[in-house]
Amino acid sequence: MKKNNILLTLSCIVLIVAGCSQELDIKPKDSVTEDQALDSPEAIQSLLVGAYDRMADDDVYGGWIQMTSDLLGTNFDITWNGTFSDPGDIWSKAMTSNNGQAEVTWTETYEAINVTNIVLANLDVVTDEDEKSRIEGEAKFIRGTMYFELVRLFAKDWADGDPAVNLGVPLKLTPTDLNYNPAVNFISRATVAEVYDQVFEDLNTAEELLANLDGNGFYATVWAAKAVLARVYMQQRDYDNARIKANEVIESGQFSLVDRIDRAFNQANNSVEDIFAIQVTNQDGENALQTFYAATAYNGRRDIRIRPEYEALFEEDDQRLQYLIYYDVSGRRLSGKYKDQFANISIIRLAEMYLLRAEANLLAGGTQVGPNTPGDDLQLIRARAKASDAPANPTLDDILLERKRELGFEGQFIHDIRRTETTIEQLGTYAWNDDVLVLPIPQREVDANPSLKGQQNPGYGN
Amino acid sequence: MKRGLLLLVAGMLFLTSYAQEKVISGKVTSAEDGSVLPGVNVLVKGTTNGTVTDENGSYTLSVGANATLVFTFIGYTSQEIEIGARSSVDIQMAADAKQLSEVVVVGYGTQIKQDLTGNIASVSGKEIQNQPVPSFDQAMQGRAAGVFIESGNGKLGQGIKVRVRGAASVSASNEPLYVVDGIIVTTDNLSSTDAPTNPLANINSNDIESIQILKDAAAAAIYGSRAANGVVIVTTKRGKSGKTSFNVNYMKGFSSPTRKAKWLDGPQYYQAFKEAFDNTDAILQRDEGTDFGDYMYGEPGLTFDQVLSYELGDWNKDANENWANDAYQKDAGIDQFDFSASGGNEKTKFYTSLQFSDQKGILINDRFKKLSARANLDHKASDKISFGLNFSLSRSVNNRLADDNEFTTPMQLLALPPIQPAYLEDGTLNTNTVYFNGLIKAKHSSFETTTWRNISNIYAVWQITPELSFRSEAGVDLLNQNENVWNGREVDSQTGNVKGGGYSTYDNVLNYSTNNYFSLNKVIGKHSIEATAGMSFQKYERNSNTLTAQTLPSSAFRTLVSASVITDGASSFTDYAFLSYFARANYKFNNRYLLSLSGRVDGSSKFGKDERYGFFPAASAGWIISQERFMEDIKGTLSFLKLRVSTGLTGNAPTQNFAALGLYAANTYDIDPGIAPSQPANNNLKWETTLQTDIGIDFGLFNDRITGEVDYYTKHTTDVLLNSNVPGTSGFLTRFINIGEIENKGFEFVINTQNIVGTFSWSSSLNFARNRNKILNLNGNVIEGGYINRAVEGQPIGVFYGVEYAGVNPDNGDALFYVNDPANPNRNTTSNYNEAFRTVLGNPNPKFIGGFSNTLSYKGFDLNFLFQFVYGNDVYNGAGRFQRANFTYFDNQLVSDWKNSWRQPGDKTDVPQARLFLDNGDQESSRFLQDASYIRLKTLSLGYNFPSTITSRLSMQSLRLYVAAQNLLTITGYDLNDPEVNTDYLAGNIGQGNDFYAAPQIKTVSFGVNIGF
Repeated sequence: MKKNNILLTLSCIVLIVAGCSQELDIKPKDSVTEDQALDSPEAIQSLLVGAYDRMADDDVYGGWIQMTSDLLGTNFDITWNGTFSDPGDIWSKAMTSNNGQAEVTWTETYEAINVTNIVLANLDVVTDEDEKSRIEGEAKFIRGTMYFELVRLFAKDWADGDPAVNLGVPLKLTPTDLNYNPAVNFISRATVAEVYDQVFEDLNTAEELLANLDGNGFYATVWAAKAVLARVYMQQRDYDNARIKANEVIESGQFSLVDRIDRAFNQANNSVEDIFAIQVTNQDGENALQTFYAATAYNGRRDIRIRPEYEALFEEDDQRLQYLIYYDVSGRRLSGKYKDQFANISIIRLAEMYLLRAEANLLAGGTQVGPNTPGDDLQLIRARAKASDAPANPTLDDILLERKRELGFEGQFIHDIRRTETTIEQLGTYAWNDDVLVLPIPQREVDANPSLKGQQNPGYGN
Repeated sequence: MKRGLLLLVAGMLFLTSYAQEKVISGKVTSAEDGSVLPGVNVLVKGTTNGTVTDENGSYTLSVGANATLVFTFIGYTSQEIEIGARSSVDIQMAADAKQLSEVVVVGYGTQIKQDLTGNIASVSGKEIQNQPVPSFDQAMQGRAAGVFIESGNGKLGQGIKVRVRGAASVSASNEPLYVVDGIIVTTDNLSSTDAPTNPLANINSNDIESIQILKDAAAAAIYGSRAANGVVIVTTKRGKSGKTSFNVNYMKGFSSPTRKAKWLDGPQYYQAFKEAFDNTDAILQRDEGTDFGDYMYGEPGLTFDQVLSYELGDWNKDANENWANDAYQKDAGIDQFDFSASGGNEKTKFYTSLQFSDQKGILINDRFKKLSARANLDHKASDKISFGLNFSLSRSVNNRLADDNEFTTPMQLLALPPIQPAYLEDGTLNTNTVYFNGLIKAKHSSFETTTWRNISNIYAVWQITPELSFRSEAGVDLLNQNENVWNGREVDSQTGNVKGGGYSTYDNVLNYSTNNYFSLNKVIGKHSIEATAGMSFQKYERNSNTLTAQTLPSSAFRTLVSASVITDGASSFTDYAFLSYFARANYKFNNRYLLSLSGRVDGSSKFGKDERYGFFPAASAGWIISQERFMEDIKGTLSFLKLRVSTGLTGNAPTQNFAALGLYAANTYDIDPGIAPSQPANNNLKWETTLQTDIGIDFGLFNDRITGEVDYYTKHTTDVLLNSNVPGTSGFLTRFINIGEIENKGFEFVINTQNIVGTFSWSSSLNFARNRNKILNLNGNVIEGGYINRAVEGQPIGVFYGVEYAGVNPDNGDALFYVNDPANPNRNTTSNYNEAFRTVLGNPNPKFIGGFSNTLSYKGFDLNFLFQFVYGNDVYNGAGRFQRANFTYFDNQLVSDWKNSWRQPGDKTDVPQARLFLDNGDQESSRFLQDASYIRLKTLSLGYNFPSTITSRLSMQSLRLYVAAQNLLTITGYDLNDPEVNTDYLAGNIGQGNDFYAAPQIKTVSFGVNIGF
């Protein structure tokens, strides 16, 4: 009797144990494992969307790539008045290798690159050939664009010494295996020239694969690829190719200037002028530019303020002054380009292409590309702003000044300083190729990756 | 493995010989005056079979033939009586100070303290009752040796840091495991903000009978893969047979901050910043040939007042706002009402209680309300079967505040310039201040966390034979938490909402478990064996929903049903399970040689698929030397002496549920669904393993009037769970791996003394502990946290690492820093911050901690007080860059920094020259690091118990009036607010010892009345 009871108890325990041990095999419900994640064409498309989302991160095109450039390249344009010390150090040229902003821009950008690498490695899952080439084209657009941003922030300028010798950034072109292998992830820096080669390879492929696509919503198009290529050529001082690409975009007829300049900003949907823009909605995305430029009344931190010298660049009737510079309740001078926190972020707009074609035509000389003279292109921009007429034969300075007026706070400052080899005189004197104008390789990367030993940028220790 | 254990269990059964059952009864009286003793615990040794004497001191119990009865009663010497052939055993108990004979709750059973071979700290429920703190863990502070308890700030209901013998983990939890009435309870922080909340706050401290903290491997290893940080076992009160007793308690307390730093007032502020402006202007004129306005704004000739208007907004030279004081509410305090009833008869016993407490914190809008009820029931169905239940239900409502790093948290008000009034002349709040006026948020927002919690379990005990029993228990811990946040449109600039908004989260945590185990107790001549073996299963499931919305019609509409734009919504689910087998055997020979073996096999869904089960054994031995014949002669002096040694393995499981898996997660873009990889896989992921060795001596002197414990331990943790850095170029930042070694070594010392006995009595207890933590190996990883904390090889976890401040150049007022070039070590200084190398600056871990408690009584009066101390830890003020920044920007500054600033060549001071907008010592450096040792009068209570002559006339059993004080006195050299601090939004394993606008601790003086009838 007693024995039976004990046996009964024991068998109950055995049953509980048998039932429970299966309970240890638990799969998450909020995330999925790799085999489930990448098993269909839809999944690869979703992965591509994921790459855009990483690119739209606030530390990437959600704002900090642009603000890093402008804080570093300001030449009596803006001051940083915020309490965050990392952007403050970028602005005051006091960065160390531990600069947190440089670090997250680096890591988040590589996160986007890794997602594009996974897309490209799994293209065979997509059976429809048109879909496959579109997805490949877009992924390469993102990867090429991201490498271009990295190489021009974290490495010496193309024309500063020998790009075939100067260190660029590590080139990671294959997906990181989730069963992580440390050794294969220790990648050293490629040269500047190698990174530019990769940028061209990706963007040229994107241009080719996206060529026959009729519209792609707000995603990358052939025109976006050409516009970025125009920027890349410009940074290489290859004015001839730059004007060709800019001209193709302008003359495509796909884009037109908005009627009043402020309507190119603070838009919920891409404006007719946007060649490529980051999508922000009230449910998704972050507009870091708005956070740091906007007045408190617009829920911003108004940490970046416009200096009087910049304001003085405009004529009184210039609508870029009237509509895009405003004063907050305490008289702080702020940029009106970023007032709406849920607005899209323009990455490349048509006005830049006009200015770029004008500048490239002027500098390249020879046969003019496109129907407009540099003066005509400049006039388009000035007329739209209701500013006085442009000179018929503008000088390079005229065009560069117009770039500053038109494209201020859109992430062009440091790149324009470098490619035009201009000296910065705000907060000290810095030659265009001064070491402090190049971001440090983040210390965490140097610590985590032995292949970066001895590859830190000059002026940041080892 | 599984089968092997079952065989072991079965094998043990057959060892048992079946003995005859019989009923034994008797009476317990006091040896002193012969009066009957009701409420004496009578327990059959090694079992859970027991009873309590009734009002006549009588008891009846069915027992086996060779049973030994253990009589225990607080304040009396416990006795063990072998029944032999008797059917009636009357005993007399002697009042005694003996503290070694108490019954201690251990994992899956109880033990007599004298027989322990492991290290267990006990805190009685009495010590922690009626303290004006929301959670019992906070109330334990200073009462258990080697248990470091820190409350990061004076906000109510927030996370409490508990470290048992130091921290052994970098990326997993360092908090102990909590077991309430045998059931592992949920301690997860469910807060929607970075500042953790404390789920333990829902447990009524006044329901607690005792708390045991299992510290060494011998005591804790039976909890296996989650025991490495110690185990806190909470036992709630149970009924005793006899007359039903009712108890009513009411307490009212008044609270204020413990300490407040002194900030500049209006006139001082204007004068100080004018000085800083002039200093900068002079430097710019000299070095740049330009003035302040031109250099800073491109507008030459700007006056100081113009700069103030430009930077501050609305200001007024005559204003004298005391912003720091605006953070505090005037009516802080606590109201608490308790009711309990307990009693029962021989077959059925009950304890029921109800508590309502309403505590208002010192900061505006901070409040914690709690309603909790409990019913504990025990029933003896027959001599063989008994069962019972513990049921508790509580609801708490916590009105919370913004995290320490938000402009809207009340403590950040102190950053505002006193020349900016909080209110405008028309009585409205000033909206144009340099930083957001947090009083606007206080008025136009709410943040309410409502928690429902039901911790309940049922148990049944089958006394198979007098020596063998089987206990089965099943418990559920149901935790529902709802957070509702509303922000009016006045706060839009801080929340990012358009016309107001808020969010609502709902979390449902179901944590259920079952324990099933055999207990054996066998005495053969001089050999006595106690053994336990069984299994346990636990499942945890968390369902969460969140909704974020904005744009509300007006401030009258505060729930999201009225919001026109839904900006975010999500539902999510996560779960884990543990399946475990455990066993323990204690062997005692001749009442003096003790040996104990225990082990647990833990399987968990959290571990990688190649490492699903872990084994955690422990062994310990004790020698009660005082029982030896050669000790007879000195027994009058050395009444008790025991040597014990233990060693064993305990584990620490990952906090994350799916850390071992390679995963993809959603990444939406616009309205399109996207995915991206979220973490790499690790099939070999497992627990951290801690090998702990403890050697200890327990002693009693002068018939145990003085008792004590001395322990030395080493904890060596391997396979440390680490979020190891990987190159960001991989697209990941970290991967979770087992790598590294951490060591904790230390000693603990406890001494309890009965200083005076008699009508006037005085007893003391001192505990003192030192722990030294060192990271031996992290595979070269440096993991950063806090502001300048890091985990790095060769240093204690969380060391402060940064630039070392070298004071002020007396010639020009420049801040100086030590260069500390590791390649060229010397004490050279530089005024160029970027030339200085970073170095180890300090340690947030205390060198030693302890408590000194005293109980005095005379007739009806009793006086208790506890001093608690922490020595040798450093605190870094992360806000130093703003509030001690030599007037670099417009944050209000400490009066002492202004007074001590460098002003003219030759000034010898530590505070650099004030320079508006120019860095001069405001950078992160050891300038903001200071020693935060303190000694505190943690509790002080004075009570008076009315004599029975009066209470009987009032038809009461007892009447007690008391006054109690918490944190009445704090002695420290710390020069900000309170030295017990860790800013909430950065608190973690590495982020330790940081101050950042953290609220000071709460000082409370309360008055209470307690009536029994």
